[in-house]
Amino acid sequence: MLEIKNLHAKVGDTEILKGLDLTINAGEVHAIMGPNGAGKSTLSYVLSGREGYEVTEGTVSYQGKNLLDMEPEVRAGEGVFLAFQYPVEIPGVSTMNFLKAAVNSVRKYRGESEFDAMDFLKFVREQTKILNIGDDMLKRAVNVGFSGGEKKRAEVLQMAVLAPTLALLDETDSGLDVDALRIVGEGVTALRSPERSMLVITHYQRLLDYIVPDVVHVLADGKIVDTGDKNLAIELEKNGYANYSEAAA
Amino acid sequence: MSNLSPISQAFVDQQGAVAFSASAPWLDQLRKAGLESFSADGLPTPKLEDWKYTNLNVLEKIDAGQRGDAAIDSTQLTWLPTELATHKLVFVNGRFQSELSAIGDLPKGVKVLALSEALASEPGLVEEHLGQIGGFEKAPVLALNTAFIEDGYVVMVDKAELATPIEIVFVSQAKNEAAHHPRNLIVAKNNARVTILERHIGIGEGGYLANSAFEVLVEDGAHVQHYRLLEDSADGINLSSVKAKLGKDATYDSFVLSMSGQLSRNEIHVSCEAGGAHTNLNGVYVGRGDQHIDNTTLIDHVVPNTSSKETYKGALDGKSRGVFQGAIIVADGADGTDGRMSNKTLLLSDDAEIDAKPQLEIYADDVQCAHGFTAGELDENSLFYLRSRGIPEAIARSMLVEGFLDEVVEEGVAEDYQDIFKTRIADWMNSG
Repeated sequence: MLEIKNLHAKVGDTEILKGLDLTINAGEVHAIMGPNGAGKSTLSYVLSGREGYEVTEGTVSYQGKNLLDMEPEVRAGEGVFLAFQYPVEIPGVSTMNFLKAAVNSVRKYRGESEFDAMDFLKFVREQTKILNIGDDMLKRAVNVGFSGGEKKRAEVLQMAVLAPTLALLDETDSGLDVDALRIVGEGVTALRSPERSMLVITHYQRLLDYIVPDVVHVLADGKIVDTGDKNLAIELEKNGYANYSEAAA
Repeated sequence: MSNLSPISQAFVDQQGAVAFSASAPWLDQLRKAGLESFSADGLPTPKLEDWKYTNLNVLEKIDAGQRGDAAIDSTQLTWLPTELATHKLVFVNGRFQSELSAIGDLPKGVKVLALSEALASEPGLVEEHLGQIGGFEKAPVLALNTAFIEDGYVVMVDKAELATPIEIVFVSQAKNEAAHHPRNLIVAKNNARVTILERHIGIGEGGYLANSAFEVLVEDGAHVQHYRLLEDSADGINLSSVKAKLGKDATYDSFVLSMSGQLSRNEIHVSCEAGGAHTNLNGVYVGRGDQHIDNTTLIDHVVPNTSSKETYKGALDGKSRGVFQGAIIVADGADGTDGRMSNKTLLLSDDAEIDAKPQLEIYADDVQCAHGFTAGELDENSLFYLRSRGIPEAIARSMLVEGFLDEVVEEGVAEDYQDIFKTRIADWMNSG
């Protein structure tokens, strides 16, 4: 379903990804771990289509289509979702209106009927209950004044309502206390399904207690340098990335 | 007099030729004082510090001698939901139109009428207030208005609360290229509460000058909400001068949405003259083409323990130009003053321009004053965030601009009336 081959990407003049290979099949949850500066966030931005990241070599194929040719909104329509490490504050736009615009945009893209206001409210409330999100949060401007935990729960809510087939979670655990981590982790786990692949990008193992991965990769200096099962993450937690950093250097 | 520019001289000549409908010694004297003040220097030029960024030579295209007729189609005047349209006054080219207006029933303590009528029915009350706040030294545009005082609206509220807003529509009928000078009076006393929703529109093709002035007196716990929508036609020129004086625990809320016309200059001067006085000055301006939009404000904190909060935001496209001049003056001894001012502009094209000039003059020790000014493009990070959620780029841009501007509406307009302005902003975005 997602097939990345020999991916090279640079930001400005600096090459960050240096020949990355990765294949994720439908329904699988993969974790990418690695030291700071390894290229974890760059990978998530390249996959979601952010400007300023130039692919110089390699291919990314998603459900048989060339992902790299698509505008960000088209990728979303095709089922790619990025949960941001730092969700962006949008003053003056209520969370509810934002969610409705997003959901109706992807529904339109997918040839499904758009929700009216009443149906949408019902649809959203089913999801907010699970994530412990109150109506007051939906009325507030997108991410404005949200706590770290609220921001990440809002990201998972967006993921739930947009129903992606490929979810990229970029450092979703950053800035979360233990309780928030549990709510977010359980929220994400509830969204696992045979049709939905996930790529969980994280520096620490602790998120993976809640979102248990099928495959764990180590990313260092722009390449996948090791791959294993969930036990690899536990090892990394114990021993750190020192070995990989040296290997890469 | 011989030094006046032709257009200034034309205004002076015209004033001498007008047969004003109302006359009284004090009123004639007031007009005369306005005329003399205006005649000394004529229209302001960019040589004056306050007029550095706004040039009124566009007025050369206006025929000052014309006074338009008043045939109008009433269907063009509807803009409020019916439940809000309960006290309506319509003015065409500055003159009250009773057949288009419906003032309705008013509670005790509330007077709403045209100035032309008030001058006939309540001359003493008008004399007591008119021209009292509007000192026009260094204010040539207000002096010009004063020279032509004839009609406008009068709202006086004493110990009363008006549940529904007073609706005012000023129509400029462009085909006559006329100049008109509505003069308006708002007086609220003794915990009175009143909301005025005002719309300025231009109908027909061609230029005109709508030069309105407002004297606002708010005293003893009274609260005035004064919301204005400026929708002039493409060649229309809208000048307005607000002079507000606030007494003890009085609040004056002003919101202005400037969205069309060739040139507008909206000048507001609020003087907080007793403890507990508070003013909220808010505004949104949107421009495209070669529109010019000037918002100039001055807040005087004269005595201790008064406060002001001011936010103006704009979005400028095409070759449009915005001007924001915001001054806060805290007098010697006015301790406990809290004054906050902010101006933010989104520049949607490379050719759009904003000239922002903050001015804080603080002569007291114990005050809190802050100002912030920004101008820039849409935030790429925000744009990417929305697009990554499937929202197409054009819609994402509109959402961001509207959200940016709607914030001021939410801050500056009571909840019941926010949609009136938000809808206008959305329409402006969609028409671009």
